[in-house]
Amino acid sequence: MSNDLDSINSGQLLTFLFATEVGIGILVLPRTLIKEVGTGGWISIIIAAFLVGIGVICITLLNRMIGDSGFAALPILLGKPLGWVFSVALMLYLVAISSIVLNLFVEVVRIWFFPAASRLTLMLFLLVPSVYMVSKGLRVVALFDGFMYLIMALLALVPLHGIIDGNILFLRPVLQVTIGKLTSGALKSGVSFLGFELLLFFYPEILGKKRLFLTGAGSIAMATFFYVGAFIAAIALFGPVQPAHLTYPLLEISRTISLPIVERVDLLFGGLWVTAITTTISGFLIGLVKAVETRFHVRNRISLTVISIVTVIASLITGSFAEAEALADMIGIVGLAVGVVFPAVLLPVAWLRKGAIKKWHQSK
Amino acid sequence: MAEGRESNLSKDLRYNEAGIDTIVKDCPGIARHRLRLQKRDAVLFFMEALVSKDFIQRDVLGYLLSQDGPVLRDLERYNNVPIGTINKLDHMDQVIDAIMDGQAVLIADGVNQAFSFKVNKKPQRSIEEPATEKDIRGPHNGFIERLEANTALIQSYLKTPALKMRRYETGLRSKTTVGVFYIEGLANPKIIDEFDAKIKAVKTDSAFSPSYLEELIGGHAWTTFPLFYSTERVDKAVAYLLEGRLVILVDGFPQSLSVPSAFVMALQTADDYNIRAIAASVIRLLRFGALFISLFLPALYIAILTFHYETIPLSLLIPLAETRSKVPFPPVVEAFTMELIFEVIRESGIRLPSPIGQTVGVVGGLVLGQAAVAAGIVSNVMIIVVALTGMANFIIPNFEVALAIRLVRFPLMILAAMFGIVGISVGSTILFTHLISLKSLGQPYMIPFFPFNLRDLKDAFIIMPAAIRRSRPTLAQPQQYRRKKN
Repeated sequence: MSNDLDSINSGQLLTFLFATEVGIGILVLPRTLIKEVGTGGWISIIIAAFLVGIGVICITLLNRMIGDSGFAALPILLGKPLGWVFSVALMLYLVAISSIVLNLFVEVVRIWFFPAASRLTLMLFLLVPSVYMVSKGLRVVALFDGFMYLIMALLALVPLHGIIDGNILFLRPVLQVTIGKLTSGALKSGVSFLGFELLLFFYPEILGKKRLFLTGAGSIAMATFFYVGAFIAAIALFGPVQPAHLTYPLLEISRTISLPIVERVDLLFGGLWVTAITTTISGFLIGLVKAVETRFHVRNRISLTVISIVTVIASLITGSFAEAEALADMIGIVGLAVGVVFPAVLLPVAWLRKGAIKKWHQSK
Repeated sequence: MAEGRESNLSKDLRYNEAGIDTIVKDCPGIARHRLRLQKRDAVLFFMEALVSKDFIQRDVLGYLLSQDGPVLRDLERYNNVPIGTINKLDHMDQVIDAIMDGQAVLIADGVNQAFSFKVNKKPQRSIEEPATEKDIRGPHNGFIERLEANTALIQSYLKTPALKMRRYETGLRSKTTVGVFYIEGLANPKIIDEFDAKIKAVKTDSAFSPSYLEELIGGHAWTTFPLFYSTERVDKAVAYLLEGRLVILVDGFPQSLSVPSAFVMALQTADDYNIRAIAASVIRLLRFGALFISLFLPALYIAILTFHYETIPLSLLIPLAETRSKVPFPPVVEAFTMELIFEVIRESGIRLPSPIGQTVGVVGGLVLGQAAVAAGIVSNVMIIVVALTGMANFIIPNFEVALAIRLVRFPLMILAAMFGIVGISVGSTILFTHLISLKSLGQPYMIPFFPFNLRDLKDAFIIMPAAIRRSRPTLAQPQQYRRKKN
């Protein structure tokens, strides 16, 4: 049974997924894609969106077939030993992605605001709001994520400024990219959409189950809109080559904006962005809390504290910024495997194990 | 001797009298009047200060001692007794409770029952406008300390039999009377039942104030934000009733509580509905702006001057640097010093009689501020920031929310001093998460923003004209959403 404090409706789920998906990617993606694909990088983003869309379809069908979350039914679908192995693997994946996002978050904050600050201090400090949010339950996380609409509306002014002040013709030539490069770019873009795979962990909590696919697809569409906007803005303002040499192109765009009363608007945008990343980390953390609750039947402050400590330790192990970025590429591929391939493989298994699922529901 | 408070009354008057004497020994102001009634000895007990002696002389004693007085055992059923309420009492604790409540209690020899007469005359002040909730337009009457009088005030606005009141007695010792008002057909029965269950579950020595009751019933013990909003204004309480909320009045207190409440209510005043919607909307937006200033301005000042001075345009940065150069302390110390001075002046002004309080405020504010700048403890800009923050806080109509904002401002200032704008972001995230997690009797405290509710936005940041604002707020889940039938 789902806890009443954790139940969320379709609108809240849409917000939750969108807030989890959009985070570091909006800063990093333009550079990665311009390096990998060139000016046609925006096509890779759209391909990636369709790819994760397939994942959303698979997870929706899987959850519907099972009548519970795919994660909860793993021991039934794969047998106890294998089910536990995959459960632990998925939990480790969530620890890994939370810690990598935290690590990249800390690095951006260091570059943007505090170059001399200690990583550990910043990690602990920046993790506090996410942990506090998670301690209040899924519904509070999803409700808080509503701030993302306001934050993204304000942050959207940055790429908009880039597009207006820049030259959109830098995007030419369009479609002169090889399929190989586009595919590679799409795989690299996949990491920016991670968050949709959390649907694999939540199902009883979702009130509008019939609109699950539309909700997941809606969150991907919104994220795609922002990523494509950020990419086009970077090319339009800095040209087709320079963004590849800028660590965070969007950050550089924000530095070009000044208002009569605020000289450095980017610092104010930075403050908003910090809140946006908090929602991303809290999304993965609550997924992890849910996974631990499902598998170990524990949900208390101790389990949340342990999860937080493990995340911080994993973030410290991740190493330097360069190592974290390399790991982010790797975890992006793993994330796509978790969100697209894994549910696609589980679908026929679930169909074959219909009887076992029925018995499992009866025994609950 | 009587066995105790729970014991039954005896037929022996002396036994009963001794029992009462044992319990009320050394209690102040208890009087007894001995009389001979239908050839029996009898005693009338009452609290001297709480009863009307005229009622006792004329309506109780005069009638009981008359030739055609009622048979004692049938006193309760007798219609001719010119007293509104007469109750038959069987137990000693009922007798004691009635005496303590200000009723007169008659005990007679040979009768193992007592009779209480409602002849209370509790002291009460006149009806005035609440000092802390003054409005320019609209009625100028506020609740007083008597539940009966407050009930009459509400009834004078709502002349409908749908207005209901449930009466509760809380506090094992204080025996405080609590009246819960609602409009039948509007208030949600689930919310009424939930409140009913919660107030009945209160087991405490004394729950004599509305705030105390709010803490016991509202939950969320560690929040500084009020979950049940209080008002002394009758028109506001009536408006809350018409929105389907419950209004709680506690005997002895002029503050009413409205249940459930939402954060946005802290920025609404009765005047908003007594002037044109456009003007009211501008003032409402000003209040939201004031809320933002009151919460964030000192923290932003600290963050910008400590970490992000490059955000300030050069033309402003130079004079700012000049004034700051005379101050030996970092911005956070400067801000804390001035904020603490301001809070001290404010608190000292509240506790003093109003003419002296005003003088202390003016003298303290002007002299101390000027002296602090001259001594180089704080900069001129800091004085502006603190004054603006303080004034902005006064704009928030709800005292408890304004107080909560004052308290929350300090941790934000510390976070700003440690981590600049990132600290403010983290602090705000925690604050808003906390606010979103709050519930007022099971209803979301941050509605209509979290969860988002378009319909309720008609009376949030701005206020739509009355012709458009035809639905009641969803917070109380009223049984009728529309105010008018089409």
